[in-house]
Amino acid sequence: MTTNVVRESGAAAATGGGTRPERSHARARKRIRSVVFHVFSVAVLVVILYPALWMLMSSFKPSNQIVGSVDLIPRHGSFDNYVHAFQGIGGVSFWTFLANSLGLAVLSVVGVTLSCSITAYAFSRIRFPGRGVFFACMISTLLLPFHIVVIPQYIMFNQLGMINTWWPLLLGKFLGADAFFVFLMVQFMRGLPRELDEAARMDGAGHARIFASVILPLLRPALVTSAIFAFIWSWNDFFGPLLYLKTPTSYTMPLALRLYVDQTSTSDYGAQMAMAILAILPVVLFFLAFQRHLVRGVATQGLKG
Amino acid sequence: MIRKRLAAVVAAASVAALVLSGCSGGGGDVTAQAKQFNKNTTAEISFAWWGNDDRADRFKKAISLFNKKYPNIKVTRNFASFADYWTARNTEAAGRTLPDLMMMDPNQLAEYSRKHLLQDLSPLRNNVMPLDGLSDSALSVGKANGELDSIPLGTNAWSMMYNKDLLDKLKIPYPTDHMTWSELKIFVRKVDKAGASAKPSQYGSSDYTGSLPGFIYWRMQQGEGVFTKDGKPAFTQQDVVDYVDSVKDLRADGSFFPIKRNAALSPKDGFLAGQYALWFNFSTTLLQAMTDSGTNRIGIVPAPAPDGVDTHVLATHPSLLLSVSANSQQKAAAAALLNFLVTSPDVAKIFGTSLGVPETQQARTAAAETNATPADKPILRYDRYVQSQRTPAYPSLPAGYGTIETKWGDLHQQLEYGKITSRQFAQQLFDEMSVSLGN
Amino acid sequence: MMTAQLASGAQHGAPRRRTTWRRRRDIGAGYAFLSPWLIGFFVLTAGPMVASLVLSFTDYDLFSAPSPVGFANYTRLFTDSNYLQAVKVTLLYVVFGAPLKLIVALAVAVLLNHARGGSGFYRSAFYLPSLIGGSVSVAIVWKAMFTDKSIVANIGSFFGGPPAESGGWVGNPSMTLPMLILLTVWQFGAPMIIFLAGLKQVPTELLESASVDGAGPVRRFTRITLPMLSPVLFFNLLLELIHSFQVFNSAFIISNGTGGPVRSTLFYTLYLYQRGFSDFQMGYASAMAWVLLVVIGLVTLMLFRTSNAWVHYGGDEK
Repeated sequence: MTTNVVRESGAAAATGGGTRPERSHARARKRIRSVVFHVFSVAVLVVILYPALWMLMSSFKPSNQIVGSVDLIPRHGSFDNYVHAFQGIGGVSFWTFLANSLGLAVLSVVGVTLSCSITAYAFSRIRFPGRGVFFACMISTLLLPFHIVVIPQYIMFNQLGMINTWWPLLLGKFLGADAFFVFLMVQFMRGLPRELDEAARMDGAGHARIFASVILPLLRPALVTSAIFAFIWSWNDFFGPLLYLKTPTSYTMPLALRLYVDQTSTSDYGAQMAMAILAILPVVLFFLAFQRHLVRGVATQGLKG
Repeated sequence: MIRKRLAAVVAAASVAALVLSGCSGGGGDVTAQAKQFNKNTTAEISFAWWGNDDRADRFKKAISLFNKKYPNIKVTRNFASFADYWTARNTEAAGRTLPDLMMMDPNQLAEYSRKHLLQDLSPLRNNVMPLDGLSDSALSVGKANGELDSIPLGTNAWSMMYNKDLLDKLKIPYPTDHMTWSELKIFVRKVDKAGASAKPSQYGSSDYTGSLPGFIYWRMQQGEGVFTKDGKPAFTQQDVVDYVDSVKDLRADGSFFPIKRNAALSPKDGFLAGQYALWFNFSTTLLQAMTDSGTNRIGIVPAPAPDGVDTHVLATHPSLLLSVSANSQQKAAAAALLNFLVTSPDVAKIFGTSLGVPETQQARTAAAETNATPADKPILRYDRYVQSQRTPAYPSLPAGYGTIETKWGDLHQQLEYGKITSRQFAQQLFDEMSVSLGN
Repeated sequence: MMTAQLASGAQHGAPRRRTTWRRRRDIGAGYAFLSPWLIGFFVLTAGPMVASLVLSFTDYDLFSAPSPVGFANYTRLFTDSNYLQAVKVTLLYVVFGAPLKLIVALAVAVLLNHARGGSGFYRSAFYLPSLIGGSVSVAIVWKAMFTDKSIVANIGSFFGGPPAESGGWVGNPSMTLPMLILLTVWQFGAPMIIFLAGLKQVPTELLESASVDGAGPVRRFTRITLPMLSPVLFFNLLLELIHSFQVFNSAFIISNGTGGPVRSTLFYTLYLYQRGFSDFQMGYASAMAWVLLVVIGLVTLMLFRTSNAWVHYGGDEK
């Protein structure tokens, strides 16, 4: 209790319990600290975000002014690089690539929200033998390197003639293979009071109804977070499409970007930068729109509670 | 547990079934197909090639021309950069899903033929694929394992290209078409000296012992063999060491374009970035040299010869070939497209010499008349020169050659970085050849 | 309240008939809800794991049937200079990259934690690299920034390094790995956010009473903050290590799939990809995958074992 008293009087002194010069002194100190903080943070921010800014600004510069130039503002900025990028590659239109990425991402979101939610419901709301074992299995898949399953999966999809289709890239999403999202939703559901389940059960509802009418609406924040991450991860995915998408008309944006880099001449950095920006634009837009969700989603990961 | 084992067994069994079906020459009776094929037969075929944007655009035009003649054949286009092309084809080869018509490389021909992945095209010659204007000697380069497994789209020859703009700026006279290796070294040093003050410094050449075709050319110039009939090397490790060490002095005093800078530019090249003057490559790449380096002023001459040798031993080498896959269900339609691409003068007007100097006289004339690409005139001129020299056939490349050519490049990079000696280079090359080369 | 007690006490106090019926329905519903995941787990995870173990004892090129070769694939690993190089490159990356990334993440988190206002903005801004860092776009830009005559090469030569036209970091085999390590450190945003969340849970009373007792900021950090952060640190470390072992995109794009120059960027997963999907030596690649799994498993185990020594859960203070 003594500490509290000491703290309170100290705080009082800081805010106005003391004499005038002491008060303004304290306020000045606080302001200096805040200024120092902001200066330092802005410095770190500039260094950190410089590559992203450089990429953006370079896309407006002609190719010969890109490599080696430190200054961000283009001297003769133009949209030429973007015009070039929009022309597509070898007769395959840019919009084809965009549509492929978009289609895969949207379907991933659908798959993830459907399958991970019911899986999470099973793990957190239903008691059945084997639940503990399977839950441990699911968690351990978080630690599993993808490369241990990629070869047999490839062989299997090859046998089924599914190479160069979207099946290998989407099947896992619809079968709850993303333990990250299942875990996220399980954690979230732990916070939902069981009385709600009980109340619904009193009214004669089975698990299906409880899930659909009670849990699912309340699960929305976790669903939104999962949807955002699922979209972004699918959009950025390179290894999966690299393995399974073989013809340029089926390429997603990352593959198209790589094809573009291979096709363009050494000097055409400008078009590469424009294409790179376009490839990553949706992710950045999602980030700007949903950063709070993203940050919260990441933060709750670490708090096992 | 049983379920998983069963799955593995099923997988193995289905693989075995696939292999067996492949051996029985799936795809139907070829002659029957060819006989039934006519202008009204509908078919859907896939066609794969490698190349850049420019080539893809030209193929788009060529295929729409083809469709004017054969409106019932739908062609699905598939293309990739060279590096990815063969990885993709290898996967398809394993699953027996190769495209109906595909671009073939002399480096890979023997390998694919040996694995029975390609259709013998002789039965198709009678009806759908007359190949008018192609001489027997031209066709012979497409033969492998006694079958006509591919048809050449064009020819090229090993050459030395030089950047006129760069040399003009440094006030250095162009290389001639009768240089010797020693004169080349002097030339390289001269360019280095003049280019040292440029920002960034410019060089005469990168290490030109860095590619296997260069070594093959060197052997041919000396009248020596390259590969034996059963696909083994007709040279020794010492020969390799001698070749690589022939420029040891230039390597040691830093006269070559630094490998660090070249590696940073990969997959492109310092020559294409205008940083050094000489480029050794097959003549078809002249167009790429022009478009990538941004100037049409690229000259082309034969690569130097040993001291005291009067004529150049040049050999025309198939630039690109086309093959029909053994697993294709539409072989006749694919052959029709093949025939069109190889012999049609309209196609030659679209591509010029960018696929190689066309095989038929008709196509060659058409290419010469239109200036489809800025590289056409120089390449045709170079081709005429090559024909006038002593030209034995280019050595036929054994199965596994593609792997060895890549390995040579990898090992040479290590050599240039100083990680291995030339003896180790030869040793590791021979190790790889014993594993990958030959039947 | 009553219903809650009823729910929790259902197993003990409720009549038998309702319990068995509910239990049976629960089992049915449980497995019904879990069925997609079960199918996925067996078909896409457990099955392939077993299959890859079986394959690792065979020679399989996707072309002909797998032929058993015993332990040949595994013994070949020890004599394969490319494999040993891949192990070396990956270990260096993991050992230097992961700790460095976490140190930076923690430092920035501590900085932001002391902020009064505007920290939310910085927190989001620093997170952006994590989101785009693994993409092809960023790999291309990174290469452009570190290549011959690039910005970094110029900065380096300004501070006494080699001249800017000597290949930059991309062309120099001794600098390619540091370049990739920098790329991962750049993405410190995600672990930083987790650290921030953990820092916010450190009770301020503890810190303030300690400062009143005369402990300086460093002592407060090491004696109070760090121990309280240790579960979060453990979590971050585990995740970072596992991710570092699997890095692929940046190495693939920057080296064009070659792992060069001279194998300086030949990461484990890249070499696995080359052997498995370029050369189609799938048995060999499966052996590599299993070795990776075992190593990651051992590292995880070691981390858990040692955690008893340095991770403090709950509210026990020193």
